[in-house]
Amino acid sequence: MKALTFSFGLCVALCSSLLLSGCQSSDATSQAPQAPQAMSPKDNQKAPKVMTPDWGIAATLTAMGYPPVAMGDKPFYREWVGKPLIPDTTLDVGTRYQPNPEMLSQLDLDLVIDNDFYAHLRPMYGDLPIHSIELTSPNNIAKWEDFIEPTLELGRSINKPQAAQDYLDNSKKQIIQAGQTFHARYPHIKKLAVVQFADTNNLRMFSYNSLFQPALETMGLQLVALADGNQWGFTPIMLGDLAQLDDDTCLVVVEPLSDLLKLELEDSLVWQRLGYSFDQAHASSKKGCCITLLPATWNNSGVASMNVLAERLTNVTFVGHTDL
Amino acid sequence: MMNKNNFLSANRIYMMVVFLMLLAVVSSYAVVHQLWPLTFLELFTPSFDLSLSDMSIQLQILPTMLVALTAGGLLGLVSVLLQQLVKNTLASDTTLAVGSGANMALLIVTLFLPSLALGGSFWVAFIGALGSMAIVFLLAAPSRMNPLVLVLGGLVTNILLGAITALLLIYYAEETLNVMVWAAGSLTQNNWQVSTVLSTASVVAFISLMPLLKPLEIMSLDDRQAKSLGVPINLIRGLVVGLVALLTALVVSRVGPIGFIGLGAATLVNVFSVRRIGYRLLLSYVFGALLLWITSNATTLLQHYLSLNIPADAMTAILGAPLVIWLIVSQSRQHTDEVIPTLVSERRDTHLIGWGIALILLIVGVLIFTATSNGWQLSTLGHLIIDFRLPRTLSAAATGIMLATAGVLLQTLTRNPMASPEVLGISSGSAIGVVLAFVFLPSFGYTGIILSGLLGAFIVLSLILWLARRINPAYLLLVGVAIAALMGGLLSLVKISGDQRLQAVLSWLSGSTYLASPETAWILVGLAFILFLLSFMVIKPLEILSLGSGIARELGVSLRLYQTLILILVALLSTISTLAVGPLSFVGLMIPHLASTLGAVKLKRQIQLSAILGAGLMVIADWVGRYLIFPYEIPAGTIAAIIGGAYFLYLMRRIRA
Repeated sequence: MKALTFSFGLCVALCSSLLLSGCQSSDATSQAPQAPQAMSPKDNQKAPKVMTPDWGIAATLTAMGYPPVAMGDKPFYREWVGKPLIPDTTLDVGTRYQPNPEMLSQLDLDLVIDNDFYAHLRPMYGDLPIHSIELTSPNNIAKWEDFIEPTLELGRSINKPQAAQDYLDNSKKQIIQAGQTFHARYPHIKKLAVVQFADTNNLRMFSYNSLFQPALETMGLQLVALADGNQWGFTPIMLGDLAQLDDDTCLVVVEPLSDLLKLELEDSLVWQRLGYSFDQAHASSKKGCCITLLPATWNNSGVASMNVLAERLTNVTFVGHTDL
Repeated sequence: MMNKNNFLSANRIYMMVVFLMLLAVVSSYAVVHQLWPLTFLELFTPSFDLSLSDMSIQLQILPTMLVALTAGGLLGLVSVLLQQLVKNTLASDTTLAVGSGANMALLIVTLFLPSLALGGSFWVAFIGALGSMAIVFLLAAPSRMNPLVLVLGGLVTNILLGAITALLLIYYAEETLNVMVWAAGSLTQNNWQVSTVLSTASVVAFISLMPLLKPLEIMSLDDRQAKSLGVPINLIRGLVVGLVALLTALVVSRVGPIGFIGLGAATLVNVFSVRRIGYRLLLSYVFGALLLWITSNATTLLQHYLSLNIPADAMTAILGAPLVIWLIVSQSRQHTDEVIPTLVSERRDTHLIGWGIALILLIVGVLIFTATSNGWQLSTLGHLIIDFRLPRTLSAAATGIMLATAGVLLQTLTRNPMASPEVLGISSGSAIGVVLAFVFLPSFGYTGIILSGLLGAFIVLSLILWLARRINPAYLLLVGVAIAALMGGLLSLVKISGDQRLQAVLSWLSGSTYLASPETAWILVGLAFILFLLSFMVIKPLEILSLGSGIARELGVSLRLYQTLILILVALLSTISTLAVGPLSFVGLMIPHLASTLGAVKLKRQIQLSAILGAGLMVIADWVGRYLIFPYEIPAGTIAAIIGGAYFLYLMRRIRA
């Protein structure tokens, strides 16, 4: 009976396959080819075979062109992170928090890259060298610069420092480019608030220490949050708190958001009065507050997530008043 | 004399109602005081006349309280109706698995037919509620609705449905990400819809019950008499079952699964021994409403201070379970020896050696036939077997031996065929001890955890033994259910707290052998053998004790000494196995019965065969759990509960009163 309530405090939801496949096709062209082309002599060393339990590290390595040979929770990565696409050759070792030790021991690995969240797994790796890298900002207000050093360190740990540098340069260019595309499409949108629904009453609002801050800043946009974030970069808010947002702030709702939750939201008096609507029909009529649904974007994957976020923001359609 | 008694009990009822009301009013005042920024009267302004943020708070207060009142009231009403129907003071939406049936049906439909779940959640829940009631009634029918069998049937159905739910959630994890798991369990409202629906349902329920009152009253005396008075018994029963399913489904589909409120309310009504059916129904509504109202207020306040999103179900378990235990304890009186149902089994040759060889072959088999990243194959790589498979297989086997042994000891000692460390809440008590040690005594390390786990098991065990002589064995099971629910609530609070250290406890107690290492496995096996041998040595005194204390005293057996010894043994067995794989499994309840249906009727044989069978079941469960969805895992406890639960339900058809 309690089994239902226990494991899914988070609402998890319908990430429409349409959106995902749409993104994936553009993904294949934009992400894969970056690094291997620009190889400096230093990078000629063979990249080690890496296993990582962490999605952020797996995403960044893949984006650099050197996907790990094994990672955790691969099927769920598709749902929650999505991009960059992890190739089929990367093996799944089971859950991130408790990977399968028997599977792990059968893998041919050179290196494990993790972070402190997975510290409890370290005895399991035996003699393998372990690099620990935090792909998050330690500051209350995250800056692009906070992510440079960890990303470079990740590059060094797989003997590809130049690939990491190139990846950073390319990513920054792409994010700035995405910002320009965004401004051309929505010249009046300057401020964004980013939330994810836990249920109809409870939301997580991503704050200034999340990577939405440096990503939006690089795009020339401003992140709006109602409070400082916790260690995961968000602050819990109630639905009614959204009323505190200014009229010129657009709301970005990060998926997953289930059909059932949408249905319940439509019945919520608070949601009705807030004046938001996901209904595409409103897009032309320009009624209601400015809002969009953003395909699932992971908040803990460093530059790789920023890249994805920027690209997805240029592809989403805002509904409601967009000429603020 | 009679009049005076009535007067007294009426007085006590008023006192209780006034006390609960006072509690509800005070907690409501605290909620309003904490959340509401305007004057009190402005709370009742029509929603749309308030500013958006004020309206949002108003909705968190008024309709939320109204939903709590009506949902709690309906669950109380449902429970008393059920009790009236089966003439059993233990019946409730929780104990007869009505709520969990509705819950499970909703999960299945959400997983496999999401479009149906969007529109028809109420009807899905209704069919689920009817289905689980049908299962429980069918199980109890051969024993003529024996109270113990009925409650046991509900209990096993509950555990089985819970395990299947857990399995579905693990197996279809990706799909449960796609469709929001219908889990609600939160009373917080953001409109007036649910409160309107439930209020209307309450009024309709009472009106439709009016014509049923008279026949129900007559039926509560004697079926035959009722029939001769021209009461259409089967029609009335059908109507009541339908109403119960309807109301439970309504609450479960609108609010979520809420345990213990119905049982708590009905038990309160019973404590005051109200006779008239009309008053009973009314009082159960009032008590249920007040209980859930208070719980809801406590949840809101806690949420406000901790800024956590607490599921109502966790709170009702944490507050409701102790209430139920307290009510049972305060009700304890002279224990009347009544017919205890037993499984029909006859003595046969047990072929212990054959079973032993089969177990060894099984262990060898699961060690070399496994799933790998290349699919299923025979894999005889030495280091894989020694480092990973052997420790986990041995841990599973050791746990199986310990739980089965504890089950035999308990069933003999309490002379209750439904006793086991899991069912009586001893494993849960030990798990609660472990969690509390993690929270409050982190500096003591593993010693603190083990000692605290032992203490938890011992406290529950002493309570059970103390109660065993005072209350009906069926009530004893209820205490176990309540303690298990308390643990469940505590664990779900731990889960939402987001504390990393505590998450480790959760994975520890998840019922999996994941944490077994080559070193701990051999220690576990050693402990299992020592404790098994010790149990074997107390068989003689145990046999005498089980004849009853009078006979034991005459034979000069030092009653207290041996009883204490056996208690310590059971506490050790339960705690060590809980520490190894968690509190959820079915081995201790089921295996002793399996052993006796296989012919091991004598205690000595039963304990031997149980140990072998327990080890076998756990080894199979662990192996299936590890490789079915490789590299992901399903806890062995979940698999054991499904295999064991299904088999036990099958066995229950053979129970005769």
